[in-house]
Amino acid sequence: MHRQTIGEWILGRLMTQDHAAAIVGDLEENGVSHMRFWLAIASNVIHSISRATAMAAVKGCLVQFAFTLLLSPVVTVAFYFLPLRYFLWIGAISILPVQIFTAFWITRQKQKQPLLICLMIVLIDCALGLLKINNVSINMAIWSIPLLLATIAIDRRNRQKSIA
Amino acid sequence: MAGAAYLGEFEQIVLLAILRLGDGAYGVTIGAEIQKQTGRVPVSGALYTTLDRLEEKGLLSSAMGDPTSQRGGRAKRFFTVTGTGLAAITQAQRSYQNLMKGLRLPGLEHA
Repeated sequence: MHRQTIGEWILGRLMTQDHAAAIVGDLEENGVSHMRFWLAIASNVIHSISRATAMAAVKGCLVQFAFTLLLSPVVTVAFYFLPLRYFLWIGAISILPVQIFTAFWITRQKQKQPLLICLMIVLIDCALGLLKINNVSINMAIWSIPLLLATIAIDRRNRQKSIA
Repeated sequence: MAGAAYLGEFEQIVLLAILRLGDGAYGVTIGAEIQKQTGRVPVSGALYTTLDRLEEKGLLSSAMGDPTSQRGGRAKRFFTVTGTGLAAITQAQRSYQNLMKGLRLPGLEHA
């Protein structure tokens, strides 16, 4: 796949397709090298992060935490009644609905860049997972991919609905 | 100055570059004009985000041109300064001039 197509797709998640195509077209017209092309795409992504988007990402993490608290009774019951190996599995799988609920929450916000918010939440999740605070933080990082996929799918459906 | 939009330094540079370019103002030419007149190479992200922000503020308007093969079949996005934008940049420059009055800065004749 050409770099223009990939670059346009990335920018298209953060702005309208016309605007994304115009930026990539400008870069092509300037005849920039591969490195400068990707630096320009990264620069556009970083500059697109507004204060509102960053705040929404922090809120998203708090929402995740709230969902985790709602599920904690299930995990606690599993801890008392199931052998350890099953308990660990239930703990891990129970994070999946948390991530899907979070994806719904992100796309229901009146933010222009739901995917960017999702990516920021994923980065925060992964950072917390690497810190190995507890099993929940590690599971949250592992289950980041369903969060990302669910957000992409819901965002795409919402875009198609708005076009129709 | 009540009700007028506050303009940052880079926003003023971008608006002035678009005014200088007239009808041919799009990403590439705006960047080149800024570099030519100020010696500053604008960062891609900063330039396009500023253009979007100025459009949201109603100081700029944009329209898509025709796709060209030189740009891989992608259209140019042309920018024009609106009446509000012109008033805002005039006000901002007037403020600078008022601040400069009576000052003697090295290298400036009419400071």
